[in-house]
Amino acid sequence: MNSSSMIRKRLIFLLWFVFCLGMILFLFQSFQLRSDLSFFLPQKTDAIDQVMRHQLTQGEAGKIILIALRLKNKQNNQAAPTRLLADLNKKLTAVLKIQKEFTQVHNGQSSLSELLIEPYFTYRYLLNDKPESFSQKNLKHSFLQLLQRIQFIMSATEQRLMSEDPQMIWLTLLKRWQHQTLQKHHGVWFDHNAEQALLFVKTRANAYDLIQQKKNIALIENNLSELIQSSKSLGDYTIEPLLSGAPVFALSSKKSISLQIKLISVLASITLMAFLFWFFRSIITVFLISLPLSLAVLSGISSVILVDGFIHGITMAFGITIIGVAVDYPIHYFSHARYMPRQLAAHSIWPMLRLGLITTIIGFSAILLSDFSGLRQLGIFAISGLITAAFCTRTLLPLLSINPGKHTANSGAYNKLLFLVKLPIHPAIKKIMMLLPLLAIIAISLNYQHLWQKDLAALSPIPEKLKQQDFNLRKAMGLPELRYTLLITADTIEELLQQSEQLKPELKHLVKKKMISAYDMAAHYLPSRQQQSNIQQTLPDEKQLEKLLLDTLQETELNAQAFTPFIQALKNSRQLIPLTREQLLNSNKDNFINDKIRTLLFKNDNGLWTALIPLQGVTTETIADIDMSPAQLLDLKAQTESLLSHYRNEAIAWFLAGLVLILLVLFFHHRQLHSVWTLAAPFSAAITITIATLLMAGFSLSIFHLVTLLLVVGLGIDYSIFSFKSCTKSENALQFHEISQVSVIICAISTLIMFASLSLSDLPVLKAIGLTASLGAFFAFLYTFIFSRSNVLNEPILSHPDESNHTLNN
Amino acid sequence: MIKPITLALIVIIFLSIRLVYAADTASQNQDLVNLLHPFTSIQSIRIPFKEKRFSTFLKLAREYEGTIEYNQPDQFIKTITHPDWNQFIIENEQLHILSRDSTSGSNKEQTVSLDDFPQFKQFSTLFSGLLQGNAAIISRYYTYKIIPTDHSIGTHKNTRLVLQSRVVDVFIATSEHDDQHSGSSQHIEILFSGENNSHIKQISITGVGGERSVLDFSDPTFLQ
Repeated sequence: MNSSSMIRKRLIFLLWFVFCLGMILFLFQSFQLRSDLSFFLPQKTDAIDQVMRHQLTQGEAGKIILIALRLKNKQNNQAAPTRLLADLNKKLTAVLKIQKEFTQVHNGQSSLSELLIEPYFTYRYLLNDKPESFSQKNLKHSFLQLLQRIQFIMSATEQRLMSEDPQMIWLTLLKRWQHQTLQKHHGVWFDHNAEQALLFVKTRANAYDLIQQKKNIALIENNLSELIQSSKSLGDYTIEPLLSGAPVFALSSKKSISLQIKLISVLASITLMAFLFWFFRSIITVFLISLPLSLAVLSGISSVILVDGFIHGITMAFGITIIGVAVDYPIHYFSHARYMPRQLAAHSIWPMLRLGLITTIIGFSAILLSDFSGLRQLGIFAISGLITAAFCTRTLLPLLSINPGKHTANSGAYNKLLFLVKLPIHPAIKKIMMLLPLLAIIAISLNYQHLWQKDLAALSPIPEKLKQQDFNLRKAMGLPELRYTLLITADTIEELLQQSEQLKPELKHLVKKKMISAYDMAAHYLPSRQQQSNIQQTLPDEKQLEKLLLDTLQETELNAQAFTPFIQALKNSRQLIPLTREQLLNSNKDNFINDKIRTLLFKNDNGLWTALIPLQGVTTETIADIDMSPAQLLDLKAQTESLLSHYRNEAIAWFLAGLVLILLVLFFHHRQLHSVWTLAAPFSAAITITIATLLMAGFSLSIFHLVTLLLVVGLGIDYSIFSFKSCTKSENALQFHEISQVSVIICAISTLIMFASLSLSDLPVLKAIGLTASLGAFFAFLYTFIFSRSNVLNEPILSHPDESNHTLNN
Repeated sequence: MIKPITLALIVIIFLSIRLVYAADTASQNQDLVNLLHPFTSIQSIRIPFKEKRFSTFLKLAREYEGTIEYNQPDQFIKTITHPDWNQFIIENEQLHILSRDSTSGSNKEQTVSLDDFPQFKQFSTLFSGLLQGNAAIISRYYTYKIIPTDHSIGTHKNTRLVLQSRVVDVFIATSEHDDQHSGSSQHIEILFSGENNSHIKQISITGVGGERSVLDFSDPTFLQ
């Protein structure tokens, strides 16, 4: 080796070392992984999309974790007495209440210390929209009830309540606001069969802040196991806790996906390594094959973080999938390097590799323009990753790999694959193969209505039974349902609250007609200032009330003097300045009313105030046809489906744009339509047949299938270029072509090993990716394999005539 | 460094304190067991009562009349016949409240969890404990003192059982069908009379802020 090539070699090493070190240091300092779904929502959005984003990320329903406790007898499997379960429930509630991670913990009990929630208690008369409360008749009824209550000895708090609020307006408001229908035993919630004691916590963290939610769930589990260990009364019983809710589902999905991926990856990697070892007979080679992909992943992550400051978990997972073609680059190199000098091998395959790289990255560059940030990140990841993998193969691998002559060439393996390459193909097979894409198009058009997966739930790995159980528990606990919500936007809170109040008669009418079972709105807890002032006007003044009270109590056994605090409370209420949102929330106190107001009344990204009115127990879908203006109806399910369809359509548009760009690149490169057709036909046929096969097998296409089809395009282009192009017009052209074809077979088998194993997963997302990639790779390979026999594009690729005359080693 | 002999002495002193304390507790519990012994064989009993209720909310003390009925193992019924008809039935940890509408005369029934009515739960627990002769229940919910009095009815001396309830954390109901009620610590005095203190003569319950109730019992009817 001369000194200049030595310097060149050292320089390349140094450059790669600096590049890798730079990326590692950069990631060490700046790596930030996000998992909130909002990032995958479009950026240009209307009010409804913004609410969707808000509901998905900060929505009240998403932050709730339901806990069901069941005790089973170790010997006879019998359920435990309700007392034991209730005790455990109370203890768990008490320990969770002191954790700052939870804004609410509720098990059906309300202790007296939590009863008088200020300033709401002081403002109770302004929050109560029933002016008839002060009629003589109602007042008399209230005092008769109070007389009945006197049967029991009262506590200090009760005495205060009785004297300040003898009509029990505050308790009536609380009861109305905390509507739920669960049965209670020993003071805590139980399920219908009294087998499970229930409670729920509301997390401070957003639903999809999975890192924090993981800590929250661990906190619950740890506290529970400590309680179990310290509880001597459990005796023969074992505890069976069940956690439910969006954060639990999200984490369990993540866990089951990670577990299956790990399992499948290990199995597939061992199989793949065994296969590669069978062919290359070198452990070092097998490990070096993984180098470009590893650097590609590193580079992909770094580039995305460089641009956006963070990477989304989904981008990373999908990114690694779609740059799977990067594994093909070193396989091509090592396949050729076994039969020619390393530098020559790298040099010989480079034009093909470069053409494949350029076409693929131009295809992916289209999605950089997408309105969806998630797709854009995916594009950056893929482009950066593929460039790194290609340059690593071209420059670094020839320096790292051992001399081909030094390792034992497995001629047997090569010959076996070569036998496949030389296998005669009957002309009828070619005709059938040409017919297949047409049949696939017919099959797709006949099943077009099932082409797209519209239901997000179908992709969820959560069993239907668990989802239904969660739904039923939420309903019974009076927790918010997500599907139907009315939405009002306005410039000011006051306008919003007034508009909400105007909707009340219509909503009450819907409840009466049993079209909905209930509704919630911020105006329940915080009436508009106008309404509070109106109510204030109707409150009797001090003298009126004194007279009213004396008249009412005259013929009763009750002592009017004891109700002086009641008169004083009403007098104060007449002088109160109406309550505002700021006044309530500035205190930053965690109570369920503040929490509801925060959730139901917020400022969106456009600076407009938004009020949500969740509708519960909607019995008919015709609800969507009712004019509730100025409110808009948000059907979260329909909206999610529409969003998904928007996402999918945009993805399709950008993928198609990418395909057109790929065809243009191929055309500019070859200047012959025939050549473009030869190179593009296999992956086009593969995509069409893969879609048709998936449809015929009962699968509808989701975004996961679409993203994986991008990989199929990349693989198809790679197979085509290496199968259809010969290196030179020299005498070794045929042999070079054979090596290329053998390397394509190795690439295809490697892809099949990796992705076919993924398709065995029972998780819908993994199955979608696995099936699409393995079917696509198989068909792309089949078409290139069969049609490359008679269609070798005889054109020079090597630029140096000297190098083209090198003798191949084998 | 503590010498072994000092350590041994400390252990002995500590153990002896514990033993004295345990013996004292056992002896006090035995007093209560002895006091309640006459009631252990009761299967089913109905006792008429007159109650005087004192409260700052009332002009004068309110007087109630009715019966308290206990059936083994855990049914407790308080029926008020005057001034208005009301009935409170406790069974299986549930409280059924029956009241009569003054205008229509029809009965209204409401069923709630007993835990939402800690005061009533305490009252029924007290009665169940007394009428079962169950000292363990009484000592679980109350701290107590037994005071022999100088007063006597006939030839038998009276005994006073003074209880202080241990209810410290009480809850309020918020479910749709529940009513709201709560409780707090109470001071209770029970006057036993008759041969072997076999008759409960009076129960006086005092709450906070002038809340007080005095129940006088007449002769009971043994139902079985």
